[in-house]
Amino acid sequence: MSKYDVFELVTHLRKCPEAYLQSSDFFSTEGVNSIALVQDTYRLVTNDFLRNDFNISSNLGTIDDNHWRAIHISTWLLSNPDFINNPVIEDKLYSFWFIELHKASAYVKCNEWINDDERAEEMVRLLLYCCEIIPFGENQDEAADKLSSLSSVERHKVLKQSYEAHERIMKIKREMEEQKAREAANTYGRE
Amino acid sequence: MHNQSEIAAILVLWKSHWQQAKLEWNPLLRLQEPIWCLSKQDAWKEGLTGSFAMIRLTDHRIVINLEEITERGITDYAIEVLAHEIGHHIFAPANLYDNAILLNRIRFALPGIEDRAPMVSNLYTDFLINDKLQRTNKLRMAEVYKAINSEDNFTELWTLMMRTYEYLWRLNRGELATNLSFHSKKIDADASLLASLVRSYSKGWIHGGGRFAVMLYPYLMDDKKFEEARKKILILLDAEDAGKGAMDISGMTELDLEGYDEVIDMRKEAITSKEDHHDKKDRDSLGIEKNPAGGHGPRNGYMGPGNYIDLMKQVNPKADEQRLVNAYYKEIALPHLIDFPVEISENKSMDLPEGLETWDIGDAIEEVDWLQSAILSPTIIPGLTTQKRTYGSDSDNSISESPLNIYLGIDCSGSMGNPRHNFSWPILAATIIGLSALRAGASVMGCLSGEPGDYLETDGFITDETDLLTTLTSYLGTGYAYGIERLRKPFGVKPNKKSHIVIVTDNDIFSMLDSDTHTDQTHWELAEIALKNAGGHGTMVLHSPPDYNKDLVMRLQKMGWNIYYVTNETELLKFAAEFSQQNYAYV
Repeated sequence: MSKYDVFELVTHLRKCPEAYLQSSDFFSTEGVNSIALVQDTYRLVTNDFLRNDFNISSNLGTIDDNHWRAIHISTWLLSNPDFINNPVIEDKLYSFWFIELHKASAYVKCNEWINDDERAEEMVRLLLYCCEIIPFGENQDEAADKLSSLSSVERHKVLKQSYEAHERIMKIKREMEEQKAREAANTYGRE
Repeated sequence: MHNQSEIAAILVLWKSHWQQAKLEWNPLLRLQEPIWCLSKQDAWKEGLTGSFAMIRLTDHRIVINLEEITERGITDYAIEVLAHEIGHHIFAPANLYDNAILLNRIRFALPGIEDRAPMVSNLYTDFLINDKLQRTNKLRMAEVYKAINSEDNFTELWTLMMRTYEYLWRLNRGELATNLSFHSKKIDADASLLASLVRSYSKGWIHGGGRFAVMLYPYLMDDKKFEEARKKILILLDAEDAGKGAMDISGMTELDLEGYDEVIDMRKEAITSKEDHHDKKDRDSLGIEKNPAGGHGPRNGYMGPGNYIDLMKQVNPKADEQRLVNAYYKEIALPHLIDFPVEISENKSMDLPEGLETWDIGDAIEEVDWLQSAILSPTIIPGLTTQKRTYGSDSDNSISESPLNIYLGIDCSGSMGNPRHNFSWPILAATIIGLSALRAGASVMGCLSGEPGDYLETDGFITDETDLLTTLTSYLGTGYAYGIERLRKPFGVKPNKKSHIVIVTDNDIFSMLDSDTHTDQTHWELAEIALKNAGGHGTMVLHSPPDYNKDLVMRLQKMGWNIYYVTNETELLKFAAEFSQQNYAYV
């Protein structure tokens, strides 16, 4: 097994158990206690099970359910042996969970992180990027390019632009056709 | 130029891989061996010009140009190329009907540039086949593209295709899309969507055609860019003319509403994917060419004739336009025709004396023929000299009723639309009546008339469906009304067989009836004589409000003409169906 092999990490991610897809529930009555899960993941990564002072977002109320579920799924990804007992990535996880995943979650439904190959790869690459880890068999440029071509945030921006441009063209075409139809109808009426 | 011995050796190699290529799809697959062309001239004769391989759905053949394959340096990929071509035969588009459906759906998504649909359809099915072969069968499809690729090939469209394969098969940027100067974020985003489309629709590929075409639209809309892209991509087009030479494909006139609903822009789907769609139907189908009324013809359920002809000419570039127009109106008329007449014969029989035999004791006493018994012997001995007569029966199975012929006169003046361009209710009505009459065993004479000007009629009363439809679906667009003079030829003198006369026209017919004939006989008189000589009854279908020209209408009615008013052309369908039922549906 190669360390930080994207394909292997994607395979691991796609095996994420259903339980991780439950809603966030801080009282842990019906869903997942997200804070506990994040802290446990910190402990797993740092291999320090006595600590409690982990960096967690101070604006917990602003995090929506879709984002929380994405975080749950990512904790499953972080349970891969590649990340266990890897204290150097501890201070990178805040940025991954509460900044990058926050942005991506605006465009990706939580189940897509598991069901869609591309989104799964995006999460893996996003995590590796945030942790400043270069995937196995790639160099820095290749890794950056692959992440960029998978990025939901960028893709959304580009698609929005090209959709709007396409719509403008189609609108003009429609108007021209309607104009033509009106003219044809007038010709018929005059006859 | 490669020498023939080299190509002959490659032929042996490729032939040896044919069985394996078939096994990639199905061990039970029965398909003829490809037509192996050793030179470009041979390939040209088979109709293979732009690419190194092609399929023909009409005779289920594959054509391989081995000279081109040698030049392209892909001689090592026999299984890949052959399995790909087989895939077109058994996976996508697989048959002429599905090919036509897919083309139709792609045309919906390419308004104004429908001529590009066959190319788009070919590229779409290529994706489906290649992805299956690369990912499931582990064939080296990517290597084939690497071999075909050259710096010259690249355009935006080619780059999009190659980037899509890179996304599909998780290849690094530039492995297939080698010319990085065409790369852009837009192409990346579109390629990523196309890749997910190819995966999502691999099982129900017919439903993904509309979405695929919408994605390609921006890359094809500019004529100059398209021409350039097409030239480069020609090498990949192996199924563009797959239906060339195909016979009629029925069932294509009806509007494909499901196809309309699938013309969806995936870009929009992607950017709104997080919004909940409680009702899936809310998803915006572009429905670009969707007629608000739904379509043409009965129940607004059919595509227009122009669109139908364009589509079918894309399915089969050799298709005859006249044959297509005939097929179009016939297909729409079929549900309204009378049922095939069933002959019920009543046996009218009578007994005929046939001979004599001995009457025996035990036979009914009344059967004894005393006269014949006495002739045989004056002494009556029962069972010995007694005779009885035997009878045979004579039956008559023929039906004495026979359907009347019909004359169909259609006003084809300037106010009538060309039935090839716009749906024509009068032509549909004439088709229903004409085909119903033929079905019942009658002969039909059709006449289009736009006079003064021109007319077109069948050669008398005929029973040939094609000749009749060809006449009815033609177009004149001359004059102002149906020319009453046309009745002279069939009914100037009494014909051998009685006939109905149906004339579909409008109020301008009265101007025609009143017009100067430059002879002693007026048009009114001719109309009366013709009706009398026809011996059946005449119906004038007037596209007019009732009671308009009331006196003139009464004059016609006095002659014996029935007048049927239609204020809306759609009522012609009702008239035609009723007329056919009344006059030809008897048994």
